[in-house]
Amino acid sequence: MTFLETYALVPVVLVGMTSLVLLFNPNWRWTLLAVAAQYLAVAWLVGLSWPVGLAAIKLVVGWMAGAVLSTVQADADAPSEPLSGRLFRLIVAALLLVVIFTLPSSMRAWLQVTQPVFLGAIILTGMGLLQVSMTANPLRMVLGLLTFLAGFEVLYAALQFSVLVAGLMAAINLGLALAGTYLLSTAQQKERE
Amino acid sequence: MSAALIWIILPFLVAVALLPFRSQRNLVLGVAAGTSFLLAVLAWILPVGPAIRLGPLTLQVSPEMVILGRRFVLEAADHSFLILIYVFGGIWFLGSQQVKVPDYFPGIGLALVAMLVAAQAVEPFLYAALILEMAVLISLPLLSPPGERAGPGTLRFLIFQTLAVPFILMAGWASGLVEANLPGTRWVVQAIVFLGLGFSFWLAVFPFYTWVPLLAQETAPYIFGFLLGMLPVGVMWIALGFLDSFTWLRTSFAVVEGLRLTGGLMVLTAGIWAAFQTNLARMLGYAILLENGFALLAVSLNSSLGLELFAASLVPRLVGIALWSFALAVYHKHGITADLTGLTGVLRRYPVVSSALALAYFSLGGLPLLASFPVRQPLLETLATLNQPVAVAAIVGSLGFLLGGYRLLAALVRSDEKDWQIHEGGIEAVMLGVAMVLLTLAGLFPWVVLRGSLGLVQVFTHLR
Repeated sequence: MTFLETYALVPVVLVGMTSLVLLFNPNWRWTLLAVAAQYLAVAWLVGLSWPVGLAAIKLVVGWMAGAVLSTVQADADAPSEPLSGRLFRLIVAALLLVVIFTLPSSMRAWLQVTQPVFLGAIILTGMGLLQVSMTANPLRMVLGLLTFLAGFEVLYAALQFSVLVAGLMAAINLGLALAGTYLLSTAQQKERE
Repeated sequence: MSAALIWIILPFLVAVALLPFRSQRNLVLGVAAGTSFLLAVLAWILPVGPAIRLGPLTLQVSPEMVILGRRFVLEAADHSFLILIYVFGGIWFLGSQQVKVPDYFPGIGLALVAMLVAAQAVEPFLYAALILEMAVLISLPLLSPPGERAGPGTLRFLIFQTLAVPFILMAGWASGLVEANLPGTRWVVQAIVFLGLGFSFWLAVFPFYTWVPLLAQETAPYIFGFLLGMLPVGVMWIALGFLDSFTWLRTSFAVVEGLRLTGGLMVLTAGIWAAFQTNLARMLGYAILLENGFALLAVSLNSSLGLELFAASLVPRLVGIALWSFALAVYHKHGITADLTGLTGVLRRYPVVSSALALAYFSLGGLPLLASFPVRQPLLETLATLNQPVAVAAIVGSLGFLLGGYRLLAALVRSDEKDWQIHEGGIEAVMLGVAMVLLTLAGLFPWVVLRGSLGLVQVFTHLR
């Protein structure tokens, strides 16, 4: 058993925590730190199925996406949100996590993947979908989509080994980050006017 | 020389080369339109496969090109699709000269068309999902130009198109398992579910279509028409390729009934919402949903007739959407709000554009003697023999849509003015006039369109 396999539940806990930070914390610095930590966990989970060298692509791409998104956030104020909004998100996220952890094992057997991969992938896709469904902010939306795609990539890596798909998914992740940067910059330009 | 080099890489390179020259609007538009028409002509005259002699030279266009281990295949049977997509691409670029669009529309638009062809040509098919996602990403500057905040429609467009990618990739994985094992295994259900969800997100199938009217309202009408006119055609072509490739998919009762039910629901809901809508841009969104619904119904016939009807619907659909969005863009250029209040009495001041809008509306609605009717009539007739409730739903949806058209007509003609004026420019009027003649002639002589469309379905060897 490798180190990654022995401590395979660590990235699951990490993606749970980072996705919660992404969902609640309006501060862009914390958000981008969470993105960085999230992609570390994603690379770890992918590393359970793929060689570590290839799994590291996910880490590099995720960090690059975070770096691209950070370029337009440097002069942006963190959007303020009322407590009731955050409370609502907390309740929905808690419900989602309860549902994820009570999913029957037949679901995992259906996809024929290990428990940590299954949990990590479902947490990421679920929280990503929750994020995109509860925001009108381009940054939050792109982060939600990146989280959703990261969950899918964890699952897909366990099902199929394709370097080209990994490469193209990397291009899509970076493209999404660039799209988010573009949408944010146009929004900021409009605000300045 | 390979076909992919001519019809994918060349236009893509031209599109990239056009971007730095975007300030020279007419030059860029001319090059983009010229390239599109040239590629359409090449698709018509250049045989793919056999060698041709040009004096001392021998030219052979190979159907296959390998890039990074993936095959891009454009065979001789694809030439009709190439002609269709590049002719309409050229028409859109040409038309944009008369309306307000971002400077980089010709560059990005040509790249989008090339990517649609690439998505159709790539093998294995799952890579089409990744190519289409890239096409969606590069289209964002058109939907939300610099200096304008992206609206909820644009964000939802990006979300739904991105959500499709994982499902199509998972469908590719499950399809591989079905092929490796035997049809009838449990993987068939998984593959169908993944494919169904993926295409539902892509094509804005009921109930995932809320973003369409939103996007229509907040985006420049010409851009919206271009994107939502071309993108679904490319996606449906890929979907038909799937159906053609997998026996277990096209013979599945669940797939056929699912297509029929969702198609019927789309026509019904889009038609009813259109009846109560006052904004013409949102109505265009519903018109596109209605067309998508009818396309699903045609495919659900699961016969050569259905396939031919689908192919025959493409030209009236694309001309109708182009005419509608061009008319809205002309109104916008002249400072007229495109809703029923803003358009009250406009017919007397803008008779050509108002007539074009009404004609496009009724043509897409399937009014007899107009272009879409010869496709709708046999489709509904056949559907009624297969599934009466869905046929009734489609008829009710069509009637609802036409009711919206009568409301538009009532607004356009309601006026106290006695004099007629023509405020449209000469080129605008000519462009609108040509499209109106096309829609009318296609309705009066449907066999011309039907016969011309038959070439489109040659590529689907199993479905036809």
